[in-house]
Amino acid sequence: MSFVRVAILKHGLTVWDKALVPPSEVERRLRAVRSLMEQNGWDALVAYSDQLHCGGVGYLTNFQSYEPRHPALAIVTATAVDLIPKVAARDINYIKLYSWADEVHECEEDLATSLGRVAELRDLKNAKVAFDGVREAPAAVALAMKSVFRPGAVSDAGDFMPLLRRTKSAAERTLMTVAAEKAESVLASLSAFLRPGMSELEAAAFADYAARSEGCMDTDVLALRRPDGSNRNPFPFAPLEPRLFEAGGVFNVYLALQYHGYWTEISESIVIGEPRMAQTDGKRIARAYLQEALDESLSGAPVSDRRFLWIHGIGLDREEAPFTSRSHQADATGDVLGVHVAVERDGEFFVCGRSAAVTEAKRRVLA
Amino acid sequence: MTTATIHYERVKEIVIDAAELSRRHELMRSSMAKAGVDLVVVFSTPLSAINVHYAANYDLFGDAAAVVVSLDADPILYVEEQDLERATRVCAIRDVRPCGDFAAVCGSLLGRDGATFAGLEWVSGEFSAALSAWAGREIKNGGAHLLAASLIKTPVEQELIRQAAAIADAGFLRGFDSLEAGMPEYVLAAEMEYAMRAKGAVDNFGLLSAGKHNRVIGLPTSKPIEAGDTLIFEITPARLGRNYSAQLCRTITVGPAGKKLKDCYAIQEEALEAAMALVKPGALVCDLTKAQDDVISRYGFADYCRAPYMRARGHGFGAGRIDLSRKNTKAIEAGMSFIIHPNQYFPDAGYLALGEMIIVTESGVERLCSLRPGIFEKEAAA
Repeated sequence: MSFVRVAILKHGLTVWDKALVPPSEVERRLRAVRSLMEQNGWDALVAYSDQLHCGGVGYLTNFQSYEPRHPALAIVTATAVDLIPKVAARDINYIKLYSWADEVHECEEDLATSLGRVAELRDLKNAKVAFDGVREAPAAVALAMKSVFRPGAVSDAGDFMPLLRRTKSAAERTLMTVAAEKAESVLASLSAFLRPGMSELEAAAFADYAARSEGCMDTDVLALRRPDGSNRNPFPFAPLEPRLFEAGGVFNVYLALQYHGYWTEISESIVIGEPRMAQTDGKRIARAYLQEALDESLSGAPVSDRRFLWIHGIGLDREEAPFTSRSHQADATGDVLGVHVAVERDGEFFVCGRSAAVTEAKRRVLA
Repeated sequence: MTTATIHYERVKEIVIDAAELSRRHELMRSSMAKAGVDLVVVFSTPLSAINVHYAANYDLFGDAAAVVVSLDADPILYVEEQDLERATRVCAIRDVRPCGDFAAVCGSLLGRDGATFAGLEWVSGEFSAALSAWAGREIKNGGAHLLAASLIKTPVEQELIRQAAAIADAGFLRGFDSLEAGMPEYVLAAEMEYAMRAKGAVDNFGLLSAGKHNRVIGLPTSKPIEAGDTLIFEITPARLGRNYSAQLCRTITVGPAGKKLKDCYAIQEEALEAAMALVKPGALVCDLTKAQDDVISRYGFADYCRAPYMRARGHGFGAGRIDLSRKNTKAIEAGMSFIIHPNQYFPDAGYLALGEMIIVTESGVERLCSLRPGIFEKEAAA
């Protein structure tokens, strides 16, 4: 099950901040893509993105599909990067301000027509092409790939892009650390804000405000649902409801924030009012379990759910490789993860979660 | 540390009950019966959550959900197993079922004659192929029946859209009040969004650009707002989901507006009113576009009534979205709801925003915006 909720308008489109993503980082990415293309004998890579899966095209061009009706294609060849966002012609000049693609092309009709024009421009009609997005792209895009390139010329890029994006560079880790610091700040603001009699929805409105005031783009606020510890229920958080907070109650909140395209997550138990001794203990134990989860060996052993552990890769997409909890993938140096634990204490649940980088085979909280 | 700046006071809650859902399903059935269709699977992914939200008032959480609407049986909502408890609680459809394999469940239903699928354009090629395999036939698109029903807003939907419009007005006024020179665009956007969420908006399609000569309207950035800037807004809060959105387009100047800007804005006001005057059941959608273009052209800006200087002269939201274009020859009907916005670029003034949400009534138009249409001038002192 995906836990990614699509906002009406994704505010993830961000001006290319060269202090955060230096030109050398862009060059590094494209060098790595082209090197792998060469190894595989591909003349071009075509990546598809939509608002739900926008990391691939975002990684290559800094364009993130910001509206459900605006998918995009990025085309990388040995000498150029082209971007085809399916937006109104009015918005093309605007997107050029954001993207580092060599050319941003109009797409007034459909992606197939624009892709055909780019294929002609880059002399790709007879090229060998890898397609990143076979599983996500609508049938119309798959048909476009078939109609533009010669029969048999298009192959599934498979894990090519997910694996490349999985290992975060120093620049990416720095950016994600800034994002994680903002998440800590939003959590602190939220903790200070909550009072008995407020509703979860009021908390969500404030958390969203606190995040946007910090310069975050997309936000999502969820709450822990009672975990059942089964493998069928891997993601323990759910949308908020109009429930009112009572004095002495626990609000197990999960915040996902996006900053300059990169996601970060944080979860914490906020006691409404003065905590009881058992609640202080519960929070401490959750924190200790999180530390334990961070310290766990990275042997690739199946993740235990005894403490309702939820781990996944995070980056330009809210969930990306490694899919630790979902698919029992082991994490590795270079990964950035969202790591969350939930524990039960005297019938109450407590959560603790942070974004963590894996360096030298150790998981370390980013902020 | 961020502290609250808004008094939290939501608009009156409106319940989407079983009777309201039945009304919508009956509208769908009427369209289905005319076309000889006896079953529509209304399907949503996170990208197209509006479909199932319309048919079930279920706010999708997960990869997919589906509502089966048929001529001869009660509707069924399928959700992912882990959200079953919440779905059963929030949705007025009585038959809510867990689903582990949507391609198998939906595909099996689509194997019979007269069965169609609404939402095909949003699903992946892989899912589409799996559906066909389970159905044993090519899948027929049933999106027209969902569209036919959702184009005409029920009284409950209209009330939700009125609420959204009132929230948009409040968001804009919050922005105007809190605006200060030196403030980054994103901080102003945060203030407006908070005001709207505090009143009950669940989300917002919000564009905001500030500059001395805006070329286009876009997403808020970290650019500081300066004295002499023109700020252009599209504010679109959604009440329970995107289907109940209302948009407001307005322009603010930091400091007094110059003559050229005022002149261009007056043209936009005239264009807006020209289109408003035509709105009534039976009028053609394309004529609303033409009326706006004609006014703007009359002042010498005909060359700017096209991309990249503008996008559209108006549109609806969510399921039942209607697009105001010269190609749309559909007749307007009572109960439709959309925004009319002659937003566009003027060489003398930059991009300007002006637009208002309406509901079409039997006798003409109900304007939902309570704000005056003119330019809002903010004192520049920081």
